[in-house]
Amino acid sequence: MSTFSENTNIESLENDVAGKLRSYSLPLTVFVVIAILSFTAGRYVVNNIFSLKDQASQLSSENGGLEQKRQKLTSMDKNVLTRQAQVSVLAIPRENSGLTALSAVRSQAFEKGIDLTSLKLSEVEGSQRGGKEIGIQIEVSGTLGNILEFVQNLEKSAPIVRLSKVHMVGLGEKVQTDLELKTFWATLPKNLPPVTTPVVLLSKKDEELLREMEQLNATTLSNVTPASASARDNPFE
Amino acid sequence: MAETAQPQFLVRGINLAGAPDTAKVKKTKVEGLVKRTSFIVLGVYLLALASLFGTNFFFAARLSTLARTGETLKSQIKALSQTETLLQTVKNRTDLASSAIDTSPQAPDRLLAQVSTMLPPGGQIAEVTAQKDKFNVSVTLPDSQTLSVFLKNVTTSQFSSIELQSLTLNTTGNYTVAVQIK
Repeated sequence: MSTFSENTNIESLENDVAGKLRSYSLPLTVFVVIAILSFTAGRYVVNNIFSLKDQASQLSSENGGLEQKRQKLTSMDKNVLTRQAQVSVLAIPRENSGLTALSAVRSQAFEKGIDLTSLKLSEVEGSQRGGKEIGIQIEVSGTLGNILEFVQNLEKSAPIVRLSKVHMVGLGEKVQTDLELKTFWATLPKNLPPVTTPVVLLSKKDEELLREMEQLNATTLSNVTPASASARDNPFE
Repeated sequence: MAETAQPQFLVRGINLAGAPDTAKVKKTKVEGLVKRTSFIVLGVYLLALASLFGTNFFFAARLSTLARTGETLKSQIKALSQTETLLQTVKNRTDLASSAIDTSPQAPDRLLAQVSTMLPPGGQIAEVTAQKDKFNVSVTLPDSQTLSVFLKNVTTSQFSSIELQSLTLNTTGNYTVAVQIK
């Protein structure tokens, strides 16, 4: 059983603690409010600021790229580009160029007085980078000079024709030649790249190639004229 | 009757409550300071929080402006799609042409063009094989003078490697020379 003095001590201690708590209630409340606000609103806002900052930085960089692309496209002369596109598509057509190349071969052979004894067309397997190759194997005979001019003229015609292999056998003044030529074609690009993709302008090498292509002589498909009627009344005799 | 002089007393303040408790006074002062400091800290914190919200609003507005600018630029670029299409076409063709057109000195067409420059007057082609990285030439020459002209032409040409494969003199007095050129 506690004595009166003990009870009095406990009561005074309790009063002392309560008094101290009452004294520090405001700073404690402030601390709690700050802690709650920091963990809720404060943390959310800070995370949001960093996220917005990253997004803004990314968008700013993307807009810089878009602006460059817009300036480059605006600075280009559309008429020049149209002409370059026409020339380049003539050099490498969008449809099978075998027949047109064949027409060029026959036309040049006739012009140079070369006998065209054999002709073979085939599509080359494993063509490169979206383009198709057509192989043309021909056998011709004529003088060395005429054959060399024949090959050079072929290489100056559109569509592009290139010599890949030659085998010549001399027969006196004349030369019997097996030629392997290649011509090229490719479908046009179907879709534009995404709008954020930077535009790549034509390089010096591209400009040189375009100048070469402009020098090519366009080949027109020659028409086959029907033979004149036979003089014999009965052609089977 | 004359008024009697009132006695003058110097009265000093008598603290009937007793002497003040210095510890209690100090405690009261500290409590007051803590309360004021609490209000100040809360005020500063709320100000900082408000500026954070302001910064958040600023970045959100900036992002919105950048997004609008981006959309405007995209629509301007789409309006230039015809120009871009032409450029893509030309670039596609020049890329294909650069791999199709062999501009190296060992290209068969260039090798073949060399044949006519190397062959002296009176010389005739016996056999020529030209393909990428391989060029064999065999010619028939009427006399030794023409032979030395041909050999001189071959050795002074652009080729770095010239190998004499055979040299024959046949019964008609003609020389047949075969060289492999790289």
